Amino acid sequence: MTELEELQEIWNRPLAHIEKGDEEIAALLNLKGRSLVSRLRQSVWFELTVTGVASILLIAYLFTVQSAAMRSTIFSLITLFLIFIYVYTRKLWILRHFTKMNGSLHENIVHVMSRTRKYIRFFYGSYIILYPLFYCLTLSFVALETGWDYFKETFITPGFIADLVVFLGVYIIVAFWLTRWYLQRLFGDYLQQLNKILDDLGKLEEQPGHNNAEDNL
Amino acid sequence: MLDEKDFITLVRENQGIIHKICFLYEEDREARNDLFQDVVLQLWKSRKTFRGEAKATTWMYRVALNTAISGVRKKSRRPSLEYLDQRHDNLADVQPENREEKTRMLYEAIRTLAPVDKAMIMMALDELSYDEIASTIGITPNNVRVRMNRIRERLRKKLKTP
Repeated sequence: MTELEELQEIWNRPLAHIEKGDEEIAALLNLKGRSLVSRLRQSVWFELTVTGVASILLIAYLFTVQSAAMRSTIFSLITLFLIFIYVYTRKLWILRHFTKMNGSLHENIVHVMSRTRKYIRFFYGSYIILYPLFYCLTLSFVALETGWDYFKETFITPGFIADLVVFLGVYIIVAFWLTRWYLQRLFGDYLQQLNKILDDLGKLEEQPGHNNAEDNL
Repeated sequence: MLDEKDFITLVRENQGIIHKICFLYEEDREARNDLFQDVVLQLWKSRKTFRGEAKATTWMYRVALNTAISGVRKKSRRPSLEYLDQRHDNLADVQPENREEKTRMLYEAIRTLAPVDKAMIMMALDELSYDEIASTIGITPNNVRVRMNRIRERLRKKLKTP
């Protein structure tokens, strides 16, 4: 028996003790994926559903409210929720065709890396807009709550505006640092691993080929 | 396109491929179960790309390796050989012990290889042609041949090291 045949004989030994039956395999088809992308998709769907339902409830509530200040607050919230609905829909679109299972390993890795980078860019980009927006909305809620005239008199002073700008800067830096940390934790090692595999595949293509008929493992 | 019944039969008959990939790419039982589930789901979603005239094993390898190598999953903290321990316990009564030891050594040796090398040696052991391996990995058959020499050499050294 040659070396190859011996290895193949070892490799092809039955795995009877872990083999699954038809029912177990059928049950798997009703489960959800366990990969990070599947879990992200499930969580974005959940967020989208909750935001959608909350928006509908708020729109219904808007028609029953008499106070102008309250109407403005609700209207701002609805606008914010609609922005979130756009963000979640876009995230789902990016996550939808994350892998290219029918392609070769090389094609699939290139595709997955491009999708991951796209997702990260979108995640960052959306928060570049959303963080300052949260901040401005909070200020407008304070203005609505206290009354515009009182707000103008009390808060719009050079000292207070300087404080607001400093606080906005700190807020944005902390928020971005947290976003970066989260994305790094989520995808950092993963992108590095994929890059390493891609390098490995690249080296394979660069190496000088040689034909050796006896090497047939 | 495969219907559910044919799909289940196909997976049942070829599940050895998925089990081996799960064992070689994931280190603990929970992660392997997750990967098995993901591979079956990906095969199910990709079933329209399976053409009856193509070899089922090639198609399964393509989808399963893409899932295992490019999928993001929770990483296990410690390596475990429980899969083989269990195998050893179960087959000890019916097979000579040295065969089990050889199996363990082969799996352990393959597990130490780089992800692409693992994929290539697995397909070679399952008797896929160089052309099939090349198209699954996305390189030329000649590069498969060159790389296979190196993998074989590495495996030989590992298997001879006590």
